[in-house]
Amino acid sequence: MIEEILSHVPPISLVRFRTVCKRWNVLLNDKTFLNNHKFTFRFILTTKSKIYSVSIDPKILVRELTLEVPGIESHIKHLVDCNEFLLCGMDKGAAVWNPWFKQSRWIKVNASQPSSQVVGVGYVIIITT
Amino acid sequence: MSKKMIVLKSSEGVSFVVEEAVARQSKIISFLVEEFPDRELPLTNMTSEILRKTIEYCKKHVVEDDGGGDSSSSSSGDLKEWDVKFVAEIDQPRLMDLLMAANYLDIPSLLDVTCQKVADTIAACNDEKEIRATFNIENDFTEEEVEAIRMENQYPI
Repeated sequence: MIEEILSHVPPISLVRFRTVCKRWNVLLNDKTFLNNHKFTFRFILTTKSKIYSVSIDPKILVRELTLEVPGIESHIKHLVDCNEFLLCGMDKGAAVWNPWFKQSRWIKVNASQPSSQVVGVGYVIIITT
Repeated sequence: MSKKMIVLKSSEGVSFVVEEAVARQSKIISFLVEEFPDRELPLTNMTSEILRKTIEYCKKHVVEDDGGGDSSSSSSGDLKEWDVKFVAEIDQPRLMDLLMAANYLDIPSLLDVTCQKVADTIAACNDEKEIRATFNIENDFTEEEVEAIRMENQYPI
């Protein structure tokens, strides 16, 4: 029952409440729980100025997604939906955005690389000895 | 034409006479009515108060067959408003009982509104202590474990 209730709680609150008890913490690392969460979306739709997430649950639900910077949507040159992140390619640099937690991080471009293109998100494993 | 009525009995033994169409919103009752027609259905784990509330919800949400198709869709906004008011008037312990009843009787829409209300209460809490106090949850973490989780979930600025 707790899964059903917590799947209605916005993700940003869920993360704050990880330390309520062990069961809640375990749930937040559980892929099945995350996939069934009401805010989990299937794909992203974009228009010229707006971004939407689309979920099917089983009704189709469209939510407008807003980046934290007002008016930024119209500056996005291209948008890549990748591993549940959004990559927004801009005139200068790019932003990685996690729509679930409404977090964004900027990737600045070096002056020596004036033009760059956003392709996707990857992982780098750093092993320290 | 008279509507078919069925009898539901609460844990205190109080009988509630309900139109079949109203009661059939519960998938469990729907099944039981077909298996055991003309029988009183005992709901031993539901108090009269919670059963009365559940019936009130089902009465409001029953879709009239003679309306033909989507007769309820025009008032779906009103119905949503009614739902919000309905759960707002119930205190926390009773809301949990109603949620469990919706789960037990398998009434998806009632389960959804009660879960949403509880979720809103959770989201409105200031910290984990308030949640534990509101929902009577025991803290089974040690201080070190809490610290470790906090460190792990810190985000770089």
